[in-house]
Amino acid sequence: MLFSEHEKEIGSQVSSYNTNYFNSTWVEQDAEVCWSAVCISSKNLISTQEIDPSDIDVVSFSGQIVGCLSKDKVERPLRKSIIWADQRAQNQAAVIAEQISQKDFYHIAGHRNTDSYGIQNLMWICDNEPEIYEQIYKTLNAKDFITFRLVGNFYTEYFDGNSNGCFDLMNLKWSGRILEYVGIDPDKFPEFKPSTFIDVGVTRAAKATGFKERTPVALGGGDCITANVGAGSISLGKTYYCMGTSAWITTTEKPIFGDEMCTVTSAHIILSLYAPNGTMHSAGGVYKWVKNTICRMEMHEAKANGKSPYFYMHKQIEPPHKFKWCHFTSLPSGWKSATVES
Amino acid sequence: MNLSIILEILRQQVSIDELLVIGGSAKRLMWRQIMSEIFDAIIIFPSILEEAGSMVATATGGVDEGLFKDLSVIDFYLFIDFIYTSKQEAVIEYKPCQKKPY
Repeated sequence: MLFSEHEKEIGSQVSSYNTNYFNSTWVEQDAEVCWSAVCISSKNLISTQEIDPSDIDVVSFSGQIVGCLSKDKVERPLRKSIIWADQRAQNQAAVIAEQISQKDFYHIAGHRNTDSYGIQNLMWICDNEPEIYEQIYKTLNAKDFITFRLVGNFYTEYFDGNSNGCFDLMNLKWSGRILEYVGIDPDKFPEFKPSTFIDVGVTRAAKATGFKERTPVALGGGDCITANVGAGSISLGKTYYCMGTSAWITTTEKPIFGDEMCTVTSAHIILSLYAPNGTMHSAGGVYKWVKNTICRMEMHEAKANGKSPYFYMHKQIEPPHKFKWCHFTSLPSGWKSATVES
Repeated sequence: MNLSIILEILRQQVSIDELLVIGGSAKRLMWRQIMSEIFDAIIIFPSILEEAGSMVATATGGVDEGLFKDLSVIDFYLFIDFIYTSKQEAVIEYKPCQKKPY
């Protein structure tokens, strides 16, 4: 997206890329394909808007959090990125649970010890792909990999770092206690900087992206927290709901540590604030699954009449019809059954 | 329903009477109605639903570059498009579904 400080949004480009679902609970994305998507959309945006690259004051990124993208010291991702929806690291979460109680972990990291976070996935690589683990120089999330490709240095900001699950929420640093328990080399994680931090600017990949060399690159933030601020949640009590492939409700407050650990707390872009939240990991994603798997007739009608399948799905749940829809997965509240009733 | 449980937990610590909603699924009028009634809150929709994250990533760069004083600049970009208030009879009808199953 291209924004002006005076004219709001100027234009946008979308380049989609695939997610690989396999082995029942494994979910990966190819960081090289993600990088190609950034290059294509940046170049297209600059050309279609007829922008002189030297007029771009700063480039920054919002990106998917809770992942494990293993990088060597030079350029290469060492394997496909394990992303937030992956649940392969159950044994690794259990190993952590032998060392530290769920409650203590929750109070350090602000999140529960589960199989979704970066640290558990990095442990999985250590246990199952030791030859790759040995080559890992840094583990990054998506947007920090893109920043690396542009500036040549490894950084993360506090929110994305928080999503690795080995973060000391109250002191905004890697948790020495958790890292000691898991036996992972702390040097495999990048250095923390604030979201507004700008390093040397574009030193590489100018031709691939269309950016001019030396264009400043700010770290930006993980997708949830940039959405947080984008929804105006920058003062205490301001609350928003994001309804996308996954969904979450977030407010801005001090950390909230509930007895049942149903909510989590993350660091904020504004370092004096925190973002307590709870998620529904499959929201729009489940709805799409219902469309593709159950609503075959609606899809047929949609194709025949040139309408969206959702048009026909919505007709069935508008009054006087009633519906009951329980969820598939939603980690924080503890609802674990996978049922749909209608 | 899960998110309404989350909201109730947050409400034990913070007063929350209104929610600003973003995300692609917020485009649908029917979902907007369902949200306001399940959450029992005033639901506010900005004109930018899908690009909020990108907008703020840009703003973080603008802060360090001196283009903006701080991230409160986001109010300049945030235009409220629609406000939905819940119907109390529907709010009451949803309540029995919002109990945790254990």
